[in-house]
Amino acid sequence: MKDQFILHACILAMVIILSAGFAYAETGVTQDTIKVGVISDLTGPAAIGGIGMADGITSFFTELNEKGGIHGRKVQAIVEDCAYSPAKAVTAAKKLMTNDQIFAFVSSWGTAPTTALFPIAEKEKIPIAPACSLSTSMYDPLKRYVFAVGTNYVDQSILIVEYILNDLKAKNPKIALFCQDDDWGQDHKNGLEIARKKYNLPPIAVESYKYDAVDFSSQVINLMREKPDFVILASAIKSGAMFLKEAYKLQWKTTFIGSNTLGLLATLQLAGEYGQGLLVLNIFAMPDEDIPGMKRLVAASEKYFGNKWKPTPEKIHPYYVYGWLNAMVFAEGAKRAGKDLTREGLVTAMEAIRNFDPEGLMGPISFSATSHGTPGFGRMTKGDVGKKKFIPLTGWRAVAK
Amino acid sequence: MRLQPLNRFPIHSVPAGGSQETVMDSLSLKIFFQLTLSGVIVGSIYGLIALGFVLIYKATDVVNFAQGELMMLGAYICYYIITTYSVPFVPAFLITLLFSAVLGIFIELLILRPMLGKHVFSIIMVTVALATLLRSLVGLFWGHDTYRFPAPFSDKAIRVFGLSILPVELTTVLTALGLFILFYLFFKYSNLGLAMRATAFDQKYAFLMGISVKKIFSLSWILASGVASIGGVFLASISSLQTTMSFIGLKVFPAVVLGGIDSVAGAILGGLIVGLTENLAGGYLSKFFGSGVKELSAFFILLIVLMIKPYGLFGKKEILRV
Repeated sequence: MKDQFILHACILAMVIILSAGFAYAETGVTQDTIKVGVISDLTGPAAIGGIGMADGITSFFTELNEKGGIHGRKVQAIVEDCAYSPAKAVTAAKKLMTNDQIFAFVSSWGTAPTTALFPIAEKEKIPIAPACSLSTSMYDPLKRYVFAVGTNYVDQSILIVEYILNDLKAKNPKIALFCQDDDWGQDHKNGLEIARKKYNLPPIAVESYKYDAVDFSSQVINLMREKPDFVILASAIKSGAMFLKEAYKLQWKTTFIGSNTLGLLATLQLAGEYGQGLLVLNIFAMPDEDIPGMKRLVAASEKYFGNKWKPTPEKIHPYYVYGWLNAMVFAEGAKRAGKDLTREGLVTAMEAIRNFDPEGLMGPISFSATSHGTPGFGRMTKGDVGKKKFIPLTGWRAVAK
Repeated sequence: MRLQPLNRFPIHSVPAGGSQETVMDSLSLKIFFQLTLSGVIVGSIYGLIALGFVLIYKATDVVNFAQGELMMLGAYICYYIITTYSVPFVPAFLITLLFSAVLGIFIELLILRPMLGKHVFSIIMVTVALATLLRSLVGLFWGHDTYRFPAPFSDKAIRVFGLSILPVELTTVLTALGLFILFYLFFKYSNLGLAMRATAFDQKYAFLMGISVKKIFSLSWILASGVASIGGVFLASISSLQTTMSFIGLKVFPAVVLGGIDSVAGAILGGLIVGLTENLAGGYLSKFFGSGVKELSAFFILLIVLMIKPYGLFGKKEILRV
């Protein structure tokens, strides 16, 4: 009886060992492919950016695959729509994990939808590497399986204030903020509060809006009454454009500065008169710049999407670049993790990334075991409707320490 | 690091602050009037959409949850006619209305009529499905980008007594007012209008009196679809064209309930009350409660009104006797 038990145990062990030889140990990774899931807003209020982000990711991976992939494995990106809804993001994530058996998420879109995925990442130990959100809540507090790339909103607020003080030479300026009433807006508020204390500025007037609002007149009037010298617009494209239209209607003459979310040509076109010359803090390189990374991006976009993103400086927008960058950072992490790719290995490898240069598309990227966010850089630009682009006014800057 | 400072671009200096002599300077009364005006403008849009809900409910007892989508579709059709065939705005607008009428007939004939006599809940679910269908179809045809609507209105505001209003906003308010008067007269004096009211009052008796109930149902869908298109074109002209603009349909629902779901006057007034409350609360209360008070205020008013008048301000009282 005992011998029979040992025999059965041996057969079972051999079956397990043999089957492991055929299939790779980690979910979503086989001999020649790595499956990753992309959740983006393809049909919702932020689709104008979300579609670009998804295309940026897929074009980077397609190009990478043609060059041989990562350690001989091709990256297969499966794109799902979340329409900017946290509930739909969770459904999409579950579909990607159970049906498609993905290895990791590359870019879930937006702060609120990504936040909804945190418990899943934690429980299933699946990396979101990296997320497509500039909110500090992505990595503060630190979450082992969540990374983020790009200048966060707190730093953006500080960078804008430093531009106002150092470049526009404003003395004791009164600053106001128009933002969305969620984590994103809260980040901007926190950033402005830090800058206000640091530079001893007057109190900041704040007005916020719900993401589906259609009317912004009371917000405009309230901020007008405060008579600020500068108004920071930390909003989505449509709300930012409508705010500017309303301000123009009421003949409000002040200086408006947008956060990176307004850095699309569509903002300027929708905003009408006040769109011309709008100042926007941009955090990625522009599509018409003479930078090796950008040339590669544009060439890949033309090759895989034909006319979809042409003419180039006009149609390729920061979110397209953002998607491309996120894919690049994932590829770097997966490459460093080595041939035996595992989820834990990817996390450890990404934490070891220091001063990785994304071919000039943004500042150097560094993560560590205690920090899953990147140091922030920004550049003030000015919108030019006629030339259909944003013209840089300053060089790249980091927040002054 | 490869990112070099770009010195070739001169650093523009924008005059900080500058002269800020605006409408808002002189009187706090002016602020009140400007907020009221903004409330009337957004209230007119709410009213136009609410009117669509009422027109269908009044005759057919169905709450049409695809009203926002009908509105969006109208705006997209108008956009398509203007941009693809270079038709001027006004003829394009009229063609859109014609299209909406045909669409209304088709929806009623193909989707709603087979549901006749079925449970109300089933019919409402059908309209929810219709909403999803229309939203997806528009997305398939036009994508989900945000477009600037090619309306012929100037961006220059008209100024009266120091208050500002855009030409497109003025047109919206006047259109809403015109439609309200038109429908009021229609329901009060025209035979068709009376037939619609009779059908709404009691389908069986209306049928026995020789009124073609089927025709009345078609007509109410034609009218609702047309009104939705008008609302859609104006909303897109004021803000922009995007598939998510259909969500305003649900946002307007408090206005519909507030005014009474079977009253034309209630729809317009409900819209105006919600618009005004939102703007005045946003203007005066956000200092104390935060900007969120703007959206909350409408529901607060709704709660109070429904406590006092459960069928809405102008709603028909229905007494159930057991």
